[in-house]
Amino acid sequence: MVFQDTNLEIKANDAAGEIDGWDSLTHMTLINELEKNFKIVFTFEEVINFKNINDIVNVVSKKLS
Amino acid sequence: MSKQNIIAPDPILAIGFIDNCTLFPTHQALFIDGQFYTYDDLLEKSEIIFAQLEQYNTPAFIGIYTNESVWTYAAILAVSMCGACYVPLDSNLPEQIIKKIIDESILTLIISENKVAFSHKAAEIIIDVKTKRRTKMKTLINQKGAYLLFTSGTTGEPKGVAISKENAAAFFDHFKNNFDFNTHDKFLQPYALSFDVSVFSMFAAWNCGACVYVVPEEGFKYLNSITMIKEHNITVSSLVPTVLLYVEKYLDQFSFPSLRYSFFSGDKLFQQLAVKWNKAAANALIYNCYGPTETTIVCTSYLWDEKTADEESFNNIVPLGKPFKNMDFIFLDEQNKTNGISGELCFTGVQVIDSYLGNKHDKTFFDYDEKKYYKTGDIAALNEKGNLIFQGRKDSQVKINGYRVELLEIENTIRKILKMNVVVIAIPEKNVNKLFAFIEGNQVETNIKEQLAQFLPNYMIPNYYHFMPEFPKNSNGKIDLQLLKQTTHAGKSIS
Repeated sequence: MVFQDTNLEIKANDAAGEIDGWDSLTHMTLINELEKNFKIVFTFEEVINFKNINDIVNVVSKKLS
Repeated sequence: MSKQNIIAPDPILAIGFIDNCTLFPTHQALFIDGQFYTYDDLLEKSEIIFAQLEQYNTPAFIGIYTNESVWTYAAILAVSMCGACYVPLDSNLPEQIIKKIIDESILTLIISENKVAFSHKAAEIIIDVKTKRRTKMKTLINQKGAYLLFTSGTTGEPKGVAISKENAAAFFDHFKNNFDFNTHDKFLQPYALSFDVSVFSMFAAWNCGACVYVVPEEGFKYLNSITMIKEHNITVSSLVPTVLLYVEKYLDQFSFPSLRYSFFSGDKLFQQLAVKWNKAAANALIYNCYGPTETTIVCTSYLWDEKTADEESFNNIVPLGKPFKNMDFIFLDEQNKTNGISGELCFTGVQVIDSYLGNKHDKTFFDYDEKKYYKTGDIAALNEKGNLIFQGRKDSQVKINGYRVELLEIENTIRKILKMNVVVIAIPEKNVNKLFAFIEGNQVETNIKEQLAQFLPNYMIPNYYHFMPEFPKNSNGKIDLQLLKQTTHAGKSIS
């Protein structure tokens, strides 16, 4: 569990800065988990430009299609 | 250290900036929030604040309610110029902590761009950002302080570390004498202003007419540091080594040819990361620096060399190097006797502070051989090349994201909230410390993280909370920390 919070609800457009605990470390943990689960690889540029869940979903979908 | 034999007052922090405003008024001095400010621009803003400051009976300590704005930086310069000591009040910190800092440093005056969000006893100068009224800066008072920061304390009380102008001047002397920083340099400023290395990032740059690039808070600050080095061709970077851990898997894709100097401090620098960083920053000299806040930012450095660093590293940690010219050290063993080879690292010299604010916690300072020493709590040893190597901590302090964290302070805060017995342990996960709180008793329904956020900064709030009916004890009846740690490996912890 990346965010260590079972009650956390994240909406697609919630900015990273607005979510408790979504810092650089959590972000990199999230990236690693996504790469492992979806068997994809992100570039650093992609990683740094993810500002919310929506951005991540879009890039993951593109890589999977 | 006695200040009685000093006749001339030590130079104020901002003196280099003022000189460079005359020499290079049109050079860039600051890049913040997507905008550049020249030395002239920043001087104008500082003098606008100075004009407002002048209307008050200037106290020795002046608080600055900081945010990511040119006005915060201008306020630091204005306070320094009027001869007072600045006290950063980080607006991202919980209200309770800021209130404690205001009380501890008996602040009577706070400069802020916007009204401080909570009530307090000090007067506020709200910066008049629309006025053009400015006063040429001259020293109004000449207190000995340069800046005042607070570090984590065991009792839950923060410890005030007042750095004198003499301490700061000795620190900057080292860089003036050993480095060729110049007006073309671009310095990275990735730190909160309550973190003392920020003083280096700002004033080392302004002392030589260079520009300070403030890393944006928005998004992922550590990752932003990397982007900023690349996009702005940063030439001098100072980073917490933790940044490298975060970006380790991308390090071999990076190339930062602009970097001339790359400083690390605030936590352990791992050798395998330094090797990768060296390839990315191929033109840079890499320095691993060390020093507690009490010895003014850092007071030792190690010039990393790919030929020798590997064999010199201990437990894969790059050496701390040798002390700066104005500093010396001894080792103390467990019986508090001096030891020439290894032990608790204790520093003496011009960069060591006199005492904590209000002379609290004086046990960490002692006199030996007619000199005043500070006990760092770090265990170190000397290697064959005369370099200090880090071997661990003596007490319950750990580093989280470069911040020095006293586990007892977290325990005390949780105990006050839950009225239950608690043990906090830091356990590294992929070399990054994670905080685990073990609580004796039945699980409570309250949101502990939310309650702790009122008293502690984010980095001090444990990641995991584990409730258990009774703590495991060893044969001496003490809490068995090893067994507690194993509980975390069994994956039983809850968040």
